[in-house]
Amino acid sequence: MPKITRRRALEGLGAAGIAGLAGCSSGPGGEGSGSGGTTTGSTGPMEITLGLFTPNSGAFAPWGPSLETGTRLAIQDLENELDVSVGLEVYDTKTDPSGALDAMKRAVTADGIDFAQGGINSSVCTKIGTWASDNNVSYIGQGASDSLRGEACQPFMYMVYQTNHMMATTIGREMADTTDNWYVLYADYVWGHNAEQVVTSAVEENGATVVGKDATPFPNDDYTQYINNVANSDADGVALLIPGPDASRAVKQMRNQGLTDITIGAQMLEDMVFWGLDHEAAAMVDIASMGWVNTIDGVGDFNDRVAEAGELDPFVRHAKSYTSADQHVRAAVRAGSTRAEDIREELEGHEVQSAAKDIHGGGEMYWRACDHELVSPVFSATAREASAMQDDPYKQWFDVTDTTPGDDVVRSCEETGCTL
Amino acid sequence: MSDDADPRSAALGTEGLSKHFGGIVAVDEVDLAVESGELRAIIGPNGAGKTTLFNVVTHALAPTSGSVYLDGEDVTDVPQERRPHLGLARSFQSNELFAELSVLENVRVIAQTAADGTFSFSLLGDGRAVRADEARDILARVGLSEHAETEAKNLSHGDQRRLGIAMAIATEPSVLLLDEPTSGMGPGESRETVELVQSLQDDLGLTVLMIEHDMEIVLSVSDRITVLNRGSVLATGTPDEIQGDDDVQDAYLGGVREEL
Amino acid sequence: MSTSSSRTLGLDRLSAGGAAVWGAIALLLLVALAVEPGLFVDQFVGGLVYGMTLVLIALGLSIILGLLGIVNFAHGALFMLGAYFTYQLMALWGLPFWVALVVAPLLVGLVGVLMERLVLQWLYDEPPLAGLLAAFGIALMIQEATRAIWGDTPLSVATPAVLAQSADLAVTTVARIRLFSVVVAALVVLGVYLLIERTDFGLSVRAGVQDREMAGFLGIDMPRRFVLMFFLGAVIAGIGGVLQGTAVGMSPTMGQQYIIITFVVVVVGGIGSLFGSVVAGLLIGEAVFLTPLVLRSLADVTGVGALAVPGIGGLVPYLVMILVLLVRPRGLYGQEGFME
Repeated sequence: MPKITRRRALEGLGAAGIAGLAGCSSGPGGEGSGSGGTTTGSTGPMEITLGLFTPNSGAFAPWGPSLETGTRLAIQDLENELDVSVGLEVYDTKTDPSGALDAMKRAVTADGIDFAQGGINSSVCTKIGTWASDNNVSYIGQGASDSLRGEACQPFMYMVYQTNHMMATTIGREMADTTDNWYVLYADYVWGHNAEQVVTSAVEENGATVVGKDATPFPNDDYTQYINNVANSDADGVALLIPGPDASRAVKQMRNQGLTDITIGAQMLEDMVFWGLDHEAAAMVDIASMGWVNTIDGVGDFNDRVAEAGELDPFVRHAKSYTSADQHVRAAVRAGSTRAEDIREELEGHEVQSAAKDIHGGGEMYWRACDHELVSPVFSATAREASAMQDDPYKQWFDVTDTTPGDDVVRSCEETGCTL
Repeated sequence: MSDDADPRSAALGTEGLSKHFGGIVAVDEVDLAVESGELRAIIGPNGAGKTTLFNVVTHALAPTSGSVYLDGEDVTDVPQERRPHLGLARSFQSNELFAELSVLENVRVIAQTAADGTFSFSLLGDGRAVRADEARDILARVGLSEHAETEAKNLSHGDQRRLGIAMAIATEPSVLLLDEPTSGMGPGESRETVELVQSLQDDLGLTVLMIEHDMEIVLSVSDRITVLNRGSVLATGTPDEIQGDDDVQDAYLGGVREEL
Repeated sequence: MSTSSSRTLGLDRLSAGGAAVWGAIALLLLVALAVEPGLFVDQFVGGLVYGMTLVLIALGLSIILGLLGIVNFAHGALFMLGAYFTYQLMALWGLPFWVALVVAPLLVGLVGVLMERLVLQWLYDEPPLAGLLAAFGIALMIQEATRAIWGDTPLSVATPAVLAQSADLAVTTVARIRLFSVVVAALVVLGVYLLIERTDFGLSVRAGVQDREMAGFLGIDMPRRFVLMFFLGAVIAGIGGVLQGTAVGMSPTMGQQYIIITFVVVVVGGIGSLFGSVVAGLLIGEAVFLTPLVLRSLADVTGVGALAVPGIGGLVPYLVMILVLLVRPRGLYGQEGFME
């Protein structure tokens, strides 16, 4: 069902004028760039309106503010460094695909954003990314699901978060290196099932064994029966392939139940979910694969700047939002255009050289053309001893133990099923 | 023929008591003076206003005009929920029992309410034990001891009527109103019930006001009888007086005898 | 017409088919016990512990539903408040767990009383939907207020040292905090039983449950009893919240999450029956813990791997509800006519 959107109408006016028109149509507060301007250079700084989609309500509401903070920090740096003026419009996804889609439509047709980013859960990313692509709007999301760079991939959709597959492969290898017999608890939905398959095969390829596994309901807060299963098996390690808040509950319950000498591995851990817990429970996590952690070498003053902003202590979503805005705006500036086609041309194959690379520890990061994945290193981390955990001026509970280059664990282009 | 005594000094008295439903006069200027310890029967044809009179006396319905006296005190305007404390009780109908409480509990709940002990949380407190004993005594008196733990809804019809009387007694009344205590009972059961009423009257010194259809019972147990017709008192007197009253014969008794 | 069979699980009414079902369940449990005896014991005890947690939450809901006829959708929110008050008292004000265990439920009780006095008391004579919607609205308000005050991030408090370890029960080990919860839940159940069945107050409440109007005529002050019972229901929800918050942690969605399963417990037990809620809570607790084990054992014994349905645990409460309602639409111990 084709819809005539304002953007389509604008496209119809001719490709040459788009950059200027985009400037004209920038959101509230945008300074006029002169009518009919056709090049950015002739009218002062390039003006861009960036639409940020973040869960300010719904199940992922705790994450919401961090996306905005990360984005604003990037905008500050970009405006200092480049001849660009970036307006930010923030939309609440309500952690709900249809709510997010309504917001995306409003952003593009009524508010005239130039490009979009944000979205945490894969269902939201898929919904708004598909609509954005259909309407020639460039979008960078933060979903980890493999399908976003697989069967659901889109010509103008990109992802900055390391994939589920990369995280699971990394943790699977680490697990096999640590101990031999593993029990896998995985969330009973697509994400968890995928992770279970990847981790199990990585564990077994590296010479260890999965001695048992359980699908756990989502959400769930009583893990006793699964902990009983683990305790009655031959496992000396347990892998938690369950969403963060549930993982933190499971860890706390293992501790209460006296299962303290078992090795705990957690996939795609976001340390923020442990911050509501006491130190002792968090300290039980032995190995975790993470997309970013604030103890990476080279983070610089990024942590302090996030901490100053005052919402959440620095964690992965700040870094990923920073990276999204940084990469999106730079591509637009290089292209001299916010057209989705032009940004795509700039991003595909581009190797990150900016501050976004530094805060990720300086390892190789590049936009893969075949699936629009920002191939980035995956971090392995371990929880500090409870007594060594830092709480002020911001929390640092996990230390990096290893950094795996993205190319080592990313699926090959053929495996993704994406045909860009 | 009428009550000679002053309603204001009787155990239960009414003065000019009337109840109108719209244009219909259900109770019309009724004067009663039931003396302490008396067993008074109210008789009259269907629609004579007997049950409405009970309702107005117990204040289940507010009277249109007139007064109700208990031991000389004007209780016309005492609200329903304070009536149990006045010493005026009406036997509970089968639809007024707590169906899923046991027989004993039905009596106990009334007894404790009468004693104002319903907010007692003590498990083995003296008050509670006394009231439980009291409830058992009452059950023994009405012959329901063996059904003490039965749920009220599982009692026979006759036993439910008896429970209704037991509950009325649990309020420790001085005046007891009984609305056809033998209706729906066989002859044997009726006789037992009548004996029960008499024994209560004797043992507890109760004043009893009873609506009853069965003339044989009425004539044999009543101290005095009041005949109602179309809402007003046709006659009041001893059984002999009533039997000998021509007006009553014409208006009522003859007809009833034919029915019987 | 209902007879005393409603108090005996209706076993006398069960046909040969019913007996076959019970027999089959017993057989399946024996298979599981034979295949994995150690795990069976662990899961049985775990199910008991979980079941008692459910009982504790369902009890208050059952009291309020049975007495006031109000489907108190806000019960989950009261439960959640118990957990957050614990956080406030322990994590922010530094008070010990034992203080929180007493103070937090009383505070929740006060919130319950406010709810009843300000809103629900006006709705007793309205259709049940009015009370349900009002309670639902209150639940949302409490939830959003919780968000505003304590934030969205899941929180937890440190389990007090004496309860932070595991308890060795010879046959299995259980988290001490869980065991403590079971003891508290059992005491609460016993206390409620004694209050309702053995005191003058309880008798007057039961009379009021059956016929509020009649009890009023007798001179029983029902409104005061309603406030008190609402307070009691809220306090019990609060106790559940303190224990759950300490054992697992708290988040603004925990109320929503638990109200559903709590309704399942009340419906399975039979609306209006406190005893039913206790039995149903334990039944569902055991079913949740033993069903996956039974299926897995069955898969082992028969060699049919497909029997071990992964992730069945989350569905079990609803399966139990469907089964029970098919056999007895009023629930295990419910009053006749409430649901049929």
